[in-house]
Amino acid sequence: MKNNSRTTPLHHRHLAAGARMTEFGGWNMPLVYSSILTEHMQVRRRCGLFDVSHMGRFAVTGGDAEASLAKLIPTDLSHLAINQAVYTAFLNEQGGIRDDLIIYRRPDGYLLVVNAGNRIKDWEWVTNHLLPGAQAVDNTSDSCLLALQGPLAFQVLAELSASASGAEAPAGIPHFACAEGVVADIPVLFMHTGYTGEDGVEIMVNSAGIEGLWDALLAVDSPGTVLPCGLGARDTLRLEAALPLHGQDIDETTLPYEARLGRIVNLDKGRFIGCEALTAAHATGPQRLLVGLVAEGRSLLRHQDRILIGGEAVGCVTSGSFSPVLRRPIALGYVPSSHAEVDTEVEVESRGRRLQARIVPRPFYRRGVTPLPPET
Amino acid sequence: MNLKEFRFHKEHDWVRVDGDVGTFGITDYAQETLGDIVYVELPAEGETLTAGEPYAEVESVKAVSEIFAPVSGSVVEFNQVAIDAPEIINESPYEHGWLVRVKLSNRTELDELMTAEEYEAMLAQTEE
Repeated sequence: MKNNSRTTPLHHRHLAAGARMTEFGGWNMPLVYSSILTEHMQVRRRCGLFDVSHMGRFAVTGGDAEASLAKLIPTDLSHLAINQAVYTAFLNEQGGIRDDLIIYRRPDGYLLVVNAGNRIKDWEWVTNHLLPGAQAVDNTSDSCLLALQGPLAFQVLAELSASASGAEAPAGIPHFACAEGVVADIPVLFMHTGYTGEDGVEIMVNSAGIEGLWDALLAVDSPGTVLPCGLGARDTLRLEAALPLHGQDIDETTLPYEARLGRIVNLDKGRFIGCEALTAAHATGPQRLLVGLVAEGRSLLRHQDRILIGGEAVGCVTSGSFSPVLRRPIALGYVPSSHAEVDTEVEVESRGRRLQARIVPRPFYRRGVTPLPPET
Repeated sequence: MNLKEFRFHKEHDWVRVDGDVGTFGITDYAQETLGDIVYVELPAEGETLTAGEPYAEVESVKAVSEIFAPVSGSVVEFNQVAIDAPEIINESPYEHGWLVRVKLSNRTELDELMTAEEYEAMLAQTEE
C-alpha cells in the first residue's frame, strides 16, 4: 500500500474477508474478495455489497445552493423535488466533462456524489463558484457509502428493517430518489441508485455505525444471499450496463453528446459553464460517438486499443473486458459518427494483432431482459 | 498430484516430466495473481519452444500474461479443455489446467529449475 493512499473505515473488515486490495482514485480499496466473475454473477443473480466510501460526498446548502449548482451543470435542477436525484456532469468552458455525478435534493440543500479521483478537483470547482448565500461541506471523511445491488437487495433490506425498532422499509423509494431510514437499528440514507445495471440501493451512513451495518447486511438469514464484492466486479458490472467511467470513457475532452449523454443537457435552462460550446456542438452534431463493441473471438479488447474501419484507425477503445453474462469480450469506444451504426464491422488492434469486432446496441446487459447463463 | 514431481521456473511456470515428455502449466500463485482466466492462446503441435521464452498467452479479466517455457522442446499436444473452458486453469492449475505437453530437447535444462520447496521459498521471499 502506498503511504499516501487513504483507507475507508471498513479497511479491517476487507482484510479479514481476504480481499485483494488495489489503488483507486487515491484510495486503497478491495479489488476482489473471491473472484471477479463470481462476484459479478452474485450481483446479477442475488445480491452484492460494495464499500464505495471512496466516492466524494459534498453537501451544498443555503439560499443560493440551487443557483450556485445551476451554473456548474447542464441539467435543470429547478424541478427536482426534495429527495429526488439526477445524474449530471460538471463541464469545462469547452463543454468537456470535468466529472460526472449524482445530485440528490435534500430538505436542507443538495448532496453531491462525485468520483473519488476527481474529489479534490470537484471540491475546488464547487467552492470557487459558490454564491455568497451558499455553503459547502465535504462529508467524505465522516460518512460511509455502501452499495447493496442485485435482485434480492430490497428483500434483504426488508428483512433487516423488520427486525429493527421504529424501522422504515425502503421498498417504496422510487428509482433515482432517496429516503431516510433505519437498518439494523442504524439510521441511514437510502438512495435508489447504483452503478451495476441491477436494482439496488446505495446507503449513506455515519462512519461510527458502519461496521455494524456491514456485518448486519452480510449476516442476513440464508447464507450466500449477500456477499462482499470488490471494484473489479463493479467495473465489469458497469461495463455490461454501458455506464461510462470518468477518466476512461469520458473526460475533459468528451462532450456529453459524444458520450450519448445528451439527456443531461438542457440548453434552455439558463447559462451554465460550457453552455456556449454545447450550443455550437449541438448545431453541428457530434463528430464521434460512443459505441458498444462485441469481439468475434475470445481475446479481450482493452482500454486504448485502436479501432480500425476499412483498415484505417478511426478511434479508440475506452473500456474493455469480459462480459460474464454474454461470455464474450465487450468494450466501449469512440468511432466517427458516420460509422457508428449498429452491426458495423470493425477491427481492434490489440497488442499487435487485429481482432474482429462489431458495433452492438448498448447496454450489453438489460436487467430482466438479457438471459443469464445457467448456474454452474 | 505430488508437487515433488514438479519443477518450477521463476516466472511461475511448472513442468512435470514423464519419460521424455514434459507437461507445462502455470502455478497456483500465477493463477491466483491473474484472477479469472477467460482466454488462452497455446502453440500448435510441432512448434518448438525455447527455455525462458514466452510460448503462450493467458488473459484474465484484469490482465494479460505471457507464459514462459521452463525447458526447451517441441509441442506434442495442447490442452483443448483449457482453450474451451479457461477457468479450468484457475480451478486446477497443477492437474486439469495443464497447457501443453512437450518432447524435451535438452534434459539438462531441468537442473536449472527449482524444486517445490525452493519455489515456495522464493514466493515467501517476494511476499516479505
